Amino acid sequence: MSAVPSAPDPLSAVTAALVESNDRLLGLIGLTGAAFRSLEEDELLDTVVWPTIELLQLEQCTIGGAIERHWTTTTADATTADAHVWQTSRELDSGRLELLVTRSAEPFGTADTKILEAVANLLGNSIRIARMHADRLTQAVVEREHAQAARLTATALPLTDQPPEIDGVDLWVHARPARTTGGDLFTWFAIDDRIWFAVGDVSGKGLPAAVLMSVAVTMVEAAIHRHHVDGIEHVGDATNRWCFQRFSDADMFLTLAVGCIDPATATAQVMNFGHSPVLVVSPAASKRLEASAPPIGVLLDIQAQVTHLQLSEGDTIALGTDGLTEQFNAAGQAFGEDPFDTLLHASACSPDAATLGQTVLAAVDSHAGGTEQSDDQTLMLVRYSPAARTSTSPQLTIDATHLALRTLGPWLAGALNEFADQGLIERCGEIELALHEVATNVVDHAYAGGADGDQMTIDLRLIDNKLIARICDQGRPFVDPGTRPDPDDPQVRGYGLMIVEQLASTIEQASGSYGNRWTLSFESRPVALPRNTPPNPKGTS
Amino acid sequence: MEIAIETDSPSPLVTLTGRFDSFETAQFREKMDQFADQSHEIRVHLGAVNFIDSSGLAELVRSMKRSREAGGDVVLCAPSQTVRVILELTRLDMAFTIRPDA
Repeated sequence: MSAVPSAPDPLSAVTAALVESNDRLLGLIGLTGAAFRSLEEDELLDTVVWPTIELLQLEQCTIGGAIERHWTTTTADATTADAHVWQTSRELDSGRLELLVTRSAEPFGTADTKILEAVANLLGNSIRIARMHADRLTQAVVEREHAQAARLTATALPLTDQPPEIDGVDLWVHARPARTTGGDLFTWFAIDDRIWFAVGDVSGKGLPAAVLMSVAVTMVEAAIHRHHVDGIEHVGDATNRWCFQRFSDADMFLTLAVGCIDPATATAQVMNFGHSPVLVVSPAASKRLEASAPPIGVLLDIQAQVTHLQLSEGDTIALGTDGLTEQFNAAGQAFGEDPFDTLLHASACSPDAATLGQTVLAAVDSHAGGTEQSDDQTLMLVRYSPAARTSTSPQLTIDATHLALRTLGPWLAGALNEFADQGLIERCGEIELALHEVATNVVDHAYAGGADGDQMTIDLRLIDNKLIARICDQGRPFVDPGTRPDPDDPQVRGYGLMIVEQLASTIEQASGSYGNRWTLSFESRPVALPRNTPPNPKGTS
Repeated sequence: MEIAIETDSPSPLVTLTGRFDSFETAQFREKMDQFADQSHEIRVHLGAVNFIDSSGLAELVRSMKRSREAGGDVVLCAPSQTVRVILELTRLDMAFTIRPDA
């Protein structure tokens, strides 16, 4: 390119200089236009160095310092002692970059050195880009491994679809992790006919929270197994002692609610270490179970109060995590604790824990409206449900017709003979009458006389020698008008529920979009026959 | 439920046997309608009724009220234990005329 024939006249010299200058410009364009086809460091450097060697007719190019590379166009040791040398350096994050070039043809002029300074900058940037790319790749791999490890910690949790089975308690849980693990935990056990349960949340997010979560759930389970006989305060105390050091060292803490339900006595106990939301949900009145101690990992010696509850049929202990109450919508508004409480209370009459839970989740999802979940969401519902059916409780499904009600009596007699004591067997006729009267109401009111496919289900449970009978339909919700006939003015209607009231110890009715659910209980001993004073009509008759 | 009717005395005797529930009310009402406007006493024998529900009870009340309007009465005879219990539960034992035998 520069082999211009020697010409003595000035015009030729100018022409030669112009041609050479033009060649350089083309070479420079070639250098700057070199497309980076790879983000690998070596290939990036080659993409810059080779055009430079060609442009400036270099023999050697050496990079030293943070990295070492050498390029040559001549055979080894061909560099003569009189070769011209030029060098520069750059400070990079990863260290010093030394650039040294040689050529024999002619000394490096001003234009050459300007180009070489630019090349040094380009090399520095190439190395930076290559290093950043490599870091990014490493980081992505680490992040993926973190996420995978965080997900794997969830294997420390029980399976959500396999709640422990126990008579009289209906259990449901939902655990939905956020993309970045939030540290929610839950566990549950049936021990000695009681249900133990816990829901907690480790402070922080990501892998550290996930790892401590798996430690914490193991500690909670160990504390329950070791101390369930000693009482819940010992379970709470052991959990705190065992977790304290680990959490304290990590500058993290654990909010935890742990409790147990004894269906035989219809009692529950709950300890709350700084956790929310925790509620007892009851159709009559729901209430928050506020924290009675600071979170675990904050103080070694804490005296947490135990909340004692007397439960009625259908009462539900609800344990959530803040991922539910703090779920945002597109406008940046959180779901909120008060709306959460209100929602649970309004759904207190749901037929079972799963229905109640799905209602809550649907409301939270509806609030979010597609806004990404920022934290783990866990909701556990522990419902005292003496009438909850298990596979062993007698169950009868019949068509909702007056004729089909006749199968009730023989089925009841068979079931009572199978599993009830003599006191209940002797009341078989009365119990049949009460169930029959409720079932008649179902045919007449829930199904308006009954049509093909209308059905009702009756199931029986024994709790403490009391018979709990439940009648469920999927018909129209109806309410007992509460009117009772005046005995002095015989009526042709309204005796049915009056009879049920006289025969059953307790009657509860819940209605909703699912239909109607009647729960009657019967004492083993015969109930006293009517008092001398007739029952007051509750309304006009 | 079987319904047997004897009309050879001035006071007809209606004997019920079996289960008197909502499925039987139409049959009972039809049989009782023939005596509706008579000012006689109609005896309903309930000794062999092994089950009666509020619908059956309501039919007894209906026929009793109609009979009394015509100047007669429906008398419940020899009610079985099952029937006695439900009459007491509903306090209708105070409303009906009840005899221990036919």
